[in-house]
Amino acid sequence: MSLLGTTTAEQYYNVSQSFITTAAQASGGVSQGIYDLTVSRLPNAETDFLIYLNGTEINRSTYSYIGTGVNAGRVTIDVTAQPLAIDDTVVIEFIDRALGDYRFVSLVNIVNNFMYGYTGNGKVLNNVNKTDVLFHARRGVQEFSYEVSRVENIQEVDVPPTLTIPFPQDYVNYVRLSWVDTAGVEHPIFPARYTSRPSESILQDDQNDNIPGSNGEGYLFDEEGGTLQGTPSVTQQRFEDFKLDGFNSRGNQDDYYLFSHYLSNIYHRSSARTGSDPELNNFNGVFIIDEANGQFGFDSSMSGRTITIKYISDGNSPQLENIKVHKMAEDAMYKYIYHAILSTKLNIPEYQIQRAKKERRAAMRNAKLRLSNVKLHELTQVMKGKSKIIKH
Amino acid sequence: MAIPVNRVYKTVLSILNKEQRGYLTPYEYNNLAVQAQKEMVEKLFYDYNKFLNLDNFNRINEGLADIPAKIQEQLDEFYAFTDITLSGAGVGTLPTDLYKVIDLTITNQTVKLEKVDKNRIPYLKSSPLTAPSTLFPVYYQRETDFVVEPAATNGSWSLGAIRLQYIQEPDNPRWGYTIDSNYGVNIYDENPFVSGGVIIGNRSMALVTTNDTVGLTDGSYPITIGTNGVTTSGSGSGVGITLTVAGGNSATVTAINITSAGTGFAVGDTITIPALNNYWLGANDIVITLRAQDLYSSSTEGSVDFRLHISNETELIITILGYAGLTIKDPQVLQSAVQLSQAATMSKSQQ
Repeated sequence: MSLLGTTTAEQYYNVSQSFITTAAQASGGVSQGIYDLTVSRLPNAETDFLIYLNGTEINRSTYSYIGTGVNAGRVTIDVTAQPLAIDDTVVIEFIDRALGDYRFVSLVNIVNNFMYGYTGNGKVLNNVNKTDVLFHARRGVQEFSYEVSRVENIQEVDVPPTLTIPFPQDYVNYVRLSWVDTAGVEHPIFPARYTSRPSESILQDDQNDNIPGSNGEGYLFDEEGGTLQGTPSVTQQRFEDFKLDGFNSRGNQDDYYLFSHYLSNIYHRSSARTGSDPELNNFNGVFIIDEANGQFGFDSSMSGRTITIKYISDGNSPQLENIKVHKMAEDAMYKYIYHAILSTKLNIPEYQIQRAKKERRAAMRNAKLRLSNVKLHELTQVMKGKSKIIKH
Repeated sequence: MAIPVNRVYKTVLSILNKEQRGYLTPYEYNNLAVQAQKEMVEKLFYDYNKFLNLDNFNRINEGLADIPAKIQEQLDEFYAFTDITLSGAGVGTLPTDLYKVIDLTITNQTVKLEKVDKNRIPYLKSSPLTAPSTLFPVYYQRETDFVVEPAATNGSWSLGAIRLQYIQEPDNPRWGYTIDSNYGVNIYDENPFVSGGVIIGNRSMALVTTNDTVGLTDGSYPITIGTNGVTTSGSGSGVGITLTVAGGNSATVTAINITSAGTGFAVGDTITIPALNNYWLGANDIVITLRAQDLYSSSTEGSVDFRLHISNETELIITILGYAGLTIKDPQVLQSAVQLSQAATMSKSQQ
């Protein structure tokens, strides 16, 4: 098996690391003092693992752990509080199970590898600040998150009576919204292009003309001179009150898109609307993206439904060690950083920048292809349906 | 692989004395040697950069022809490192012999601290993409210390001490000597000079300001400060002294030999050997009082070799000769030295 790294099979599959205590690990005597064990996988803190001595969990207050620095990974058991003997079995069980991590390379490694491989005397970049590399690497993670290795996050929520849910905390853009039926199958919901959520809904008096200096608009103002706002807006309120299935059967006479446009076709035949707009021909509901307020709005048919929001984030995290890039995109990331640095340095020949740009583009395209998961046998399976006769 | 200070002095003198041009005194030579070494150390950095530029144009070959590697070896002579503990405010104190920082890392050298301009710190700290962290810490340097971020901002630093790798300012070369009592000539003293150290060798009994004459036992006795109640009035330590007691029934201390120089001593410091703790003494303590002529710092004794790489010896001699030409007011010497130096530079540049 080819593996880069120090994670053992036991750590990966069993989420634990076992030790048989030896005298060499003890300092201050075998039956008193401390035992030092070093784990090769590095949890952040003591709270991220449990310790079992001969099958029995020991109290967390009897051991300490160093997560970073020179002695990172050292677990020290206080033997005066927790008696130990030679040849005892100590099992450290990690709480988090990180499966499939081998696919990724951490941003920290990307930066260090880049500094070693691309910068320095005799390299393509002879003098580069690590902070610059870090900046471009983190920007690269964002770009790759949008373009190359789109990791879709999926959030499941119920639509409340307010018909509004906030964007997920790390939301950058949505991929798809669906509601989930009783069989657990997703039904795609599409964004409504024919309505919106006004960011301002200005209140006006009935006459629109009896306020001095109003020039007839009749805008109402608060004590500080700001306009009074209606909440929710009339547009939003009407949309929320509107029954979407009216699009197909029970519309109002003044609903322009239902009747003015398609009046002659609407009840032409049961379950059929010849000439109608396919965009509107579904019962799955619609949603509105309220960009100004960072939330999704839904039509009234969605109230109480369970929905899934598939979205993409920017791949970043406050904890640098948690930022990862897929190995299939690792080379593309180096090329990205190289081009980004080259194009921000002074007096670099343009041909050199262009060459780096081409290399970056090719590497990103390659990474995107690799990560698009096009498998020949899956494609073959899908294409088998090509010969089916489509009935109109 | 230091360059012996005596060999260089002899060579310089032999060139200068040709045709009775003049004589360079040890004092003058020592001053010129300090100047020449400083000049050459500084020049090494520029030479290194110059040859790396040539390397970038593929004009450097491998192995013995790898000139940048050779200059790097010359610089390696001055390599040093030290581990520095940060204060709570993320401040570390720089060593006093620092000449040029190579890099700062944590002590196991897995995390490197990057030096940043002080005016960039606000930008770095205010952006989440670039904010310093324990994985990518930064520092900025001040006159005598450096400040580490994020340690300075959040007051905590979990990575332990900082390892500073640096180019050390070399000790001043020194041709130490004693004066022959018969002929008045200077005799080279090869013992290493130690600032605050006691001159090694047999010393005058005038050092022993309080002797004892009753009840001593003949023999040779090593003395160490801190052992058998031996104390000093100053802050010195590490000196090795051997006292010889002879005389049988009227035995007394007859000789004093310094076996190791120690450090931190000053004129007037006393070293007391108590009778109570040393069986070979009689009723009285022995007191040794250090005089100016017993310390390296206040004498001409003790030598320091050039720390430059051995391959720099020729250039070093030429450089000293150049300065010596000014000293002895001989334009021919100066001119020749300049020509030799220029020829060497041109030879290097035509790689």
